[in-house]
Amino acid sequence: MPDASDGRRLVTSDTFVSFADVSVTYGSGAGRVPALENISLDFAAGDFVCVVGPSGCGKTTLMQALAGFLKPSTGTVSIDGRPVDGPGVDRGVVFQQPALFPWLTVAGNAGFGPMLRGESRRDRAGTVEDHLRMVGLWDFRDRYPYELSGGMQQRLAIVRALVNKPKILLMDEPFGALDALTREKMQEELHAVWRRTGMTVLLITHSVEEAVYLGTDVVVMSPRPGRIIERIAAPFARRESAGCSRDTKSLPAFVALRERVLSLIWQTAGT
Amino acid sequence: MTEAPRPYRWLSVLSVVAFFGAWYVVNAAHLAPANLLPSMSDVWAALLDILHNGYRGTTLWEDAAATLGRCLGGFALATLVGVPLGLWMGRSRILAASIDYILQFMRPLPPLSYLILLILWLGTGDTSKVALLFLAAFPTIAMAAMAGVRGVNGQRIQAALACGATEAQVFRHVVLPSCLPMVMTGLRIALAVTFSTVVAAELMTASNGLGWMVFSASQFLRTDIVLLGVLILGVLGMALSRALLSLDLRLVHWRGRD
Ligand SMILES: Nc1ncnc2c1ncn2[C@@H]1O[C@H](COP(=O)(O)OP(=O)(O)O)[C@@H](O)[C@H]1O
Ligand SMILES: [Mg+2]
Repeated sequence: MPDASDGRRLVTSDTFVSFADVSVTYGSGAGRVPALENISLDFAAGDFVCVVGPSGCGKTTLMQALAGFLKPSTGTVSIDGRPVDGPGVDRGVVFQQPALFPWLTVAGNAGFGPMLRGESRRDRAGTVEDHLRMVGLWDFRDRYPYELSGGMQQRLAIVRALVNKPKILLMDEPFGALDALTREKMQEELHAVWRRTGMTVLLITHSVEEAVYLGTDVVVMSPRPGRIIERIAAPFARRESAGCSRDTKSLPAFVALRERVLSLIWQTAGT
Repeated sequence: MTEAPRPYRWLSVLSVVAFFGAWYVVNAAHLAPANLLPSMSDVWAALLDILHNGYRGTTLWEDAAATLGRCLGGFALATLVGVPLGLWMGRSRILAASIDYILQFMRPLPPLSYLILLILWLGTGDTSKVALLFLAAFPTIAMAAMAGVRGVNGQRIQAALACGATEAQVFRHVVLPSCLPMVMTGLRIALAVTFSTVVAAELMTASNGLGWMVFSASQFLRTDIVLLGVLILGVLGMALSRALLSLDLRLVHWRGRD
């Protein structure tokens, strides 16, 4: 692997997602906000990239550019060598608010993508069932989203994205609104999904612990203007799954890495 | 306009009983002259009389049907035009800006103020009344639909786009259902406006309808029939708005819960 010894991965031949010198500026004139400035970031298929940094450093903007919801002011974002031009099924998105469709049942929400593609209810039933069973929502298939708890709603939002078999899963603080216990459970489930599917994940999070625990790479950003100040490889996501998450999270190596990332964020906030 | 929760429902019923009780007491104690406040039995007798003999050549059913027909005709027309127009305005800033002032001008305008113009242009028949009701209802409906489109949750749209939705699919599967609560609220307000306007219009120009019955009876000082007309109108209006409310609650089952 062409990794530098400090853990920073250089541009590699197996690049899958690439931000090349991307800048995004909101507004104009006096109200101009440089949300991202000269971002260059590459990662390979199967990477689990976690982005951390103080509020307003451009994490959401970064994700929106990859999702195709906004066009960079300069630079390009590309996937597998093709420039991103608008949103598409190859990139699933999950937000902090589940943003489900309350007029559809749980099964209707899960099968939303296949329904758009004209699959009949019968055609999509199998996939929908598999996915709902996977996250324990099968018994709730005929309920409506507002009848679910916050954690269940977020599971459904993830399922709605996964059903489309995206190559990349983009998540913007998906567990930020959940209580601590639910959050840890969701981390395990997400980790399991990633292991099983080998999907590429971009996860934005406020929790450094979550980033170090789930990520193969932790990207630290700083605000005004939004920049990447550090990219650190994290070994814990690819560990042989043994023991419970609390054991991993209390390993000296884990604590050391978590503190290192935290101090980086402190530095950015201090300037 | 929603119903009180069950433990308090008896209070609502009690107030109706109290109203009729007070009415009875006022008459029984001769607190008001009978020609100004007819007794309950007078009104009941008037009801039986009208049910049996009709009022000045029209039956009660004909009058009720005439009023309802005008009301629902104008309301349906306003819905058919107002909802699509409002949805389109929500998506097109150009269209919205083009008719913004016209709608803002029309919405607070008392419909009766221009009724005479409609009568001069369209005659005294039902055409002018339906036109009046259409004009009274459609700004409210259009503006509600427009607000519905503008208020659609952007993340729901993004989620749909990331599921592969086309622009048309986003509109059909996200924007339209998202607007439904606002549209239904607009329709409920507009129906109330339409109903009160139709009665007022009939007071001025009509040869049938419940509003006409009330107005005509008042000229003969038949206060028993006036009171009867008012009660029937009130109950009818309540029934209309409840019918639409129950449709609303069935269609928009997620209202207030998401
Ligand atoms: N639509 C927008 N219009 C103007 N400024 C925006 C918009 N979205 C975000 N910003 C600004 O861009 C910067 C980065 O925002 P964002 O990407 O949401 O950061 P983060 O997700 O890290 O909190 C912030 O200063 C924010 O105020
Ligand atoms: Mg954000």
